[in-house]
Amino acid sequence: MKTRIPQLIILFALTLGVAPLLVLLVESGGAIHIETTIFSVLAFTLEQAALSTLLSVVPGITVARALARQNFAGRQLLLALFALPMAVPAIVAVLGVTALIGNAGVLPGLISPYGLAGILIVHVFFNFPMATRLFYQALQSAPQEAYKLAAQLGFSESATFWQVEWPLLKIALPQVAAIIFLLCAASFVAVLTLGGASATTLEVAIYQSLRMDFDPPRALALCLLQVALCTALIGFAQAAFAQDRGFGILRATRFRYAAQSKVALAADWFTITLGTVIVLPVLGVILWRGMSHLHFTALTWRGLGTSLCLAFASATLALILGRPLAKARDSASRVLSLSGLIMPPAVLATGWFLVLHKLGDSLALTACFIIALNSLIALPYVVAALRARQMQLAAFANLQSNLGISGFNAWRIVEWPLLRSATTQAFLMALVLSLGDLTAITLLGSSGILTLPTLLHNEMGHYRGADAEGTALLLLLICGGLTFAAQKLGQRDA
Amino acid sequence: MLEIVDGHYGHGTFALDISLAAKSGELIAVLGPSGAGKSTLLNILAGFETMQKGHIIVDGRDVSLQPPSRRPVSMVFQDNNVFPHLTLWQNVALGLAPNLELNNTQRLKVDAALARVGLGALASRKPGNVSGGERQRVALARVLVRPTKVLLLDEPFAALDPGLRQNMLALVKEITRERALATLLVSHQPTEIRDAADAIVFIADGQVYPAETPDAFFASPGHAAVAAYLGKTSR
Repeated sequence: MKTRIPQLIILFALTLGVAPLLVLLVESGGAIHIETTIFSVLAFTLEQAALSTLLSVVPGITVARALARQNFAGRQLLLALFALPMAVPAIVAVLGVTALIGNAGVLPGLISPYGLAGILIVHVFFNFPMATRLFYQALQSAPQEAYKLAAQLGFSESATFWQVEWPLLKIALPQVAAIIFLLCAASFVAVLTLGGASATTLEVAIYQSLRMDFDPPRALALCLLQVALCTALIGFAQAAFAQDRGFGILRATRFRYAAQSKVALAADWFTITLGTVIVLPVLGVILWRGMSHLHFTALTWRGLGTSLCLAFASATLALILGRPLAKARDSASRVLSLSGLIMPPAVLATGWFLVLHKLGDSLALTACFIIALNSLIALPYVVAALRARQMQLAAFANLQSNLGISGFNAWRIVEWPLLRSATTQAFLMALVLSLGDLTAITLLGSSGILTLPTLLHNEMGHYRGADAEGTALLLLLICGGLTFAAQKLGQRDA
Repeated sequence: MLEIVDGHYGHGTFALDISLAAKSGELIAVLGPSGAGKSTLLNILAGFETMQKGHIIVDGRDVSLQPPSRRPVSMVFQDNNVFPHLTLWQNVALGLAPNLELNNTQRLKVDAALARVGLGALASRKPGNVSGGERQRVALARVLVRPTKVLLLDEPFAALDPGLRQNMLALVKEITRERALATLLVSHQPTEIRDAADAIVFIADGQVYPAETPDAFFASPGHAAVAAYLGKTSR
């Protein structure tokens, strides 16, 4: 069975992450140290994730509804803009936020970018646009007849909301909230760089207990909590993944027939403007300030080269693992494709780090682990991107066998033409995720490996703000360009 | 009752010249090849599309500039006529009060309409728990509670079995007579509506041909387009 091989590879990788922790558990006599500090970490994890979700979902619904109601020339462009934050590496967004409201920023003294406020701003920057797109898609899934009926029966704006829009939003809401909560609960880079001592989440605490304090039992306890939390959420979030967090274009627009009041029109435009204001400044400040600091030193080239090599390797691995999993319909494949979410990077990396430690920190081995971790992080997105097309392909199975098309001919005539753009899209997505990665490389940690994100992180840490802004812009341009290419592919395909 | 004189509709490369007259109590079948503009004609009458030229007169009043909700027109679609989260009763009630707050008279009206289409016993069910034919009956019941003069049906029974289609057609005809409606029914089954229809309007080549009696339409196709549509070779 072709699906068995990727399943076994992922299982092996997971085992490699869990086994060292179990060994530790046995060595410590089966006792898990649960100190009270762990509960304050858990409490903060839940608090920031809940607030991030609330601040993303509520404006997300409002802006999505305004966008669905107002049909204007720039709507598709705005929705494409809202897909851009997904391509922005977390560390670049962190820099954008500090460059915007930090002490040396454009608007100093507004709010401190550190602690809870900063974490929330970064999380909302990523997740509010995603929520908007998912809710917009939900609203556009209404049949055109629903809006014709609303016009014919003389629905008021509130009746249209309660009878047409809310039933659709209600279905999407728990899924969207769960996926955002999950992503924020497992968020690493934003919390690590902006959090500080008091604002620590499970994910960062795992890293710190292992790397700063070398306290494996504490790391183990934190890991168990983190896995329990993510497993509880993944059930809800899975449905949102099926809908695809991807870069594809959104469903054809639905026309609204009912005339709108001036108040509604003004409210919608106010909302849309406000939504744009959440997304644009962070991107804008990087473009504006990075422009004059864009530089290519030997370090930049080295970082770029390493980043590209690692990203290509992990994107390729993600595709090799993802394709059979997208094709398979069994629940084992489904769960394994989500393993990067159920076992967040910090958990897996903890076990892997201990293995690395035992084997003696070789650079090549570290690189392999970084590639593996990145491909597991990208896997849910790759599988989601491929699955829709793979289902379409499955519908042709009978016709294909009836016509006797098999083997290489099947691949050449049917499979590849149908899968080509989805495959390229999935690859680009994985590439973007890995290019911007600071999580895997920090967790598995090797000072010998310099990528663009680690270079950026170093420059930020050494208060070389101007250099950092240039590097951030470079990363943003590369990731943005690849995302744009992925979007174009999606459009051509639709 | 219903009249369009010298109407013209254009959208991109698609163009349709429209002249139409229908009496109250009359069931008119709208036939024509796919893409000819049958649905467009209905959308124009309902107010979902606008003609560049010409007027729509209903009962002596020009409704061309009225929004869909102000026109005495009800349209039944092929699908999605009911909101899945509301009961059949609530779906009918929407025709009287979009906020679902009905007074006693209105409630009785909804009950009567559901009973008229034979759904009295299923009133509290959700659309997901009834058949496709029953969902279309809900749409007809909603027509009954609205102040409708023109009824538009866009292939409303296409997804139903032949026997059921005949039943529904009979019900539409009864309602048309009872309420003295001018009814336009788009169909892809010319032979099925032959007996029920009072007249046939044929659309092809960018124009709406004048109404004919079914017998005349089927016996001697007046145009090459009709002959081609019916699969008869023209002389």
